[in-house]
Amino acid sequence: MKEILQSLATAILSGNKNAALEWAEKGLQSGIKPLELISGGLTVGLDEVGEKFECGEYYLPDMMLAAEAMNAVLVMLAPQLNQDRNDSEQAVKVVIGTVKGDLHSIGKDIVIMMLKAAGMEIIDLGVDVPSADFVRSVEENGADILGISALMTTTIQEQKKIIELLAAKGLRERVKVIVGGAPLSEEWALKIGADAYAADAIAGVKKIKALLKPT
Amino acid sequence: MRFEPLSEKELQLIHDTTLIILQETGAVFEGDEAKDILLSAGCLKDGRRLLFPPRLVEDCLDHQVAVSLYGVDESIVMPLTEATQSYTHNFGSVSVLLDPHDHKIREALLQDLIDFVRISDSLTHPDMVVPSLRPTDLPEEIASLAMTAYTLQNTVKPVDIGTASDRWEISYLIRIAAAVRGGLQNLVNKPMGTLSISPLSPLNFPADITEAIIESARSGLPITMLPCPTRGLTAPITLAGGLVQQNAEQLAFLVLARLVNNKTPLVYTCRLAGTNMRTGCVSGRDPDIGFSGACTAQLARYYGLPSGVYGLDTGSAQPDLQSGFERAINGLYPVLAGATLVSGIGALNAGLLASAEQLVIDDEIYAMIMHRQKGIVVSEEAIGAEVISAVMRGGHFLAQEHTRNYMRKGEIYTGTLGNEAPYEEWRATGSVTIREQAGEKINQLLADHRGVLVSETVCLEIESILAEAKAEKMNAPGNKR
Repeated sequence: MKEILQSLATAILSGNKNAALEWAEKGLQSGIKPLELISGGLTVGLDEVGEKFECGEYYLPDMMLAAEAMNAVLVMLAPQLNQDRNDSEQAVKVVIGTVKGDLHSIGKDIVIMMLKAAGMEIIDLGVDVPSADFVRSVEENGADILGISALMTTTIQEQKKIIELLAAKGLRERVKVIVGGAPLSEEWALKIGADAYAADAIAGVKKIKALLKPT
Repeated sequence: MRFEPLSEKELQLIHDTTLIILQETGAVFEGDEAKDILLSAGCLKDGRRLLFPPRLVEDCLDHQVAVSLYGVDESIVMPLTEATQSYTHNFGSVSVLLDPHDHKIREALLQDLIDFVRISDSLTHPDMVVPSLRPTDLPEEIASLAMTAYTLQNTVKPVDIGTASDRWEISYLIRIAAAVRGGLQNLVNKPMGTLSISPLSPLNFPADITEAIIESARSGLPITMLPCPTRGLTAPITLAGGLVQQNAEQLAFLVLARLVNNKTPLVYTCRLAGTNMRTGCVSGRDPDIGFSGACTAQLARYYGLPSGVYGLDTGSAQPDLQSGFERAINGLYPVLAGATLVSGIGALNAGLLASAEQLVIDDEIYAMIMHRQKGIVVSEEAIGAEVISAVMRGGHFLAQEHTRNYMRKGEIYTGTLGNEAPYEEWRATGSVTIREQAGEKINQLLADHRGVLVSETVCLEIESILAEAKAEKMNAPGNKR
């Protein structure tokens, strides 16, 4: 069993999706519970990926390939997992999208991939999203985090609009808001009343994790 | 003298692979009108993607359309087709600047934009002024239009008409430029710049963008095809792969524009950037910005199109040493490769930060880069063997007519900024840095500038167009932006 979990972790570490799926399958066949495959295999591998990124050995493609391998296994395990998981373990819910008038998706998609790998539930609104849709989704899903992406100097104003709309609907206190995008700054985030700003995807994931820590 | 990094065989392979990609993978095209135009010309539909028959692409490439740009002062002419030199222009659409007085970063205001335009108007480089700063004290709905309007009012040089993201913006930009030129027909005959339109990478033309392309092509004004793929993020990581994808984006754009109006002048551009593989952001410290620009200049020439590429570029957030060497490396490649338009003047931090000091220093950098763009003349007259002979028989080089002649022709580069005095002399005169020199020059140029350069009637007409645009936006909250 230990060997299977270790091999699964190694497959994640090397971003080898096929090997990860194979070892997860082997694990299930030899009677390892899905939750154990996650905690003893996937998470171990992903943590090591994170460490290698921190120390400068790994780069974004290493992260993305590992996250893809991880997600593939999570999808495979999903049917069994639902039976296994008890109700108290509610995943963190993140609503995320790119603002109206802006069609950039790459930065947002990297963040989504990383957050999924970290076990969060993602509601991806896509790109060119009207401000009202962000607010509606936060309300309907009871989101913990709202991520708003804007990549153009012409569209960042939309972020401000969304935060104002949240406040007008009395939802602002119920959700943490993080904004991202190349033309932004910490000052801008402060000015529009966001809880956090991230210059890039990795910082975004870190900041989201920090926002979730009880204060 | 020309730097040509790609061989004939490599150019052919890039072209052939591009045609295969357009035929087999195609590009996403949205907007009913664009789809109708392309499908009735023989494109095939595959889900959201349209596939381009190679024959169609080749046919559209066959139309050669010459283009020249003219200053706001029409006597300034910039022939882009068959240009024998590179023309320079500044960055576009930046909303944060490094204040030249206190060196702090702040949001750009309208007065900053006007100052940037007037400084640019007074320097040799840029040859063409692009609406540079996006002021935060202008109504956001019409900021793009106002940028163009206030740029046109403050320079005699060619002015890029603007970057547009939809049909509405294009129509107003054209009206503003036409007001300055004295009517639409005059503008089409003597355009002061191009309309720039950016599809998304990889190979994605959303409805707003295809509508903007159609509207621009109908107007007959020159269009800058401006895809901005990023290697490793929105394009293959290799330079070769990035160039091919960018080429496919250019040619798909070209087919639509030429089908709408086969007399549309087009500029083939390169904004191919690299990715910082740790942050996923565009890398600012990237010598391939310049190198890919050189490759692009060659590709554009292969198709008989003028090229527009990035030149001066840096990751640095200060006009410092890093900025200096990165700009020099990135500026030199495309100029030596004969790129038609080279950009980057005044921008720092991978194009996210504007600096008036850098703008002034860039005039010097480009002057130095351009100094030998045309190579050297080796002729009997230039060599001047008789001068050597005369001096050896008891003369002095300084006293030769040959020396004075060639000095006047600029044979020895003389700059206007920077130090070359011996150390002690430099120290005795206050140890002035190039940044301090630039700061002084900014004040001087602004004090000497003649101010608004178009007539009051034209200014009033522009204001009324801006007011109309603003009212239209206010009354149509559902209007797409």
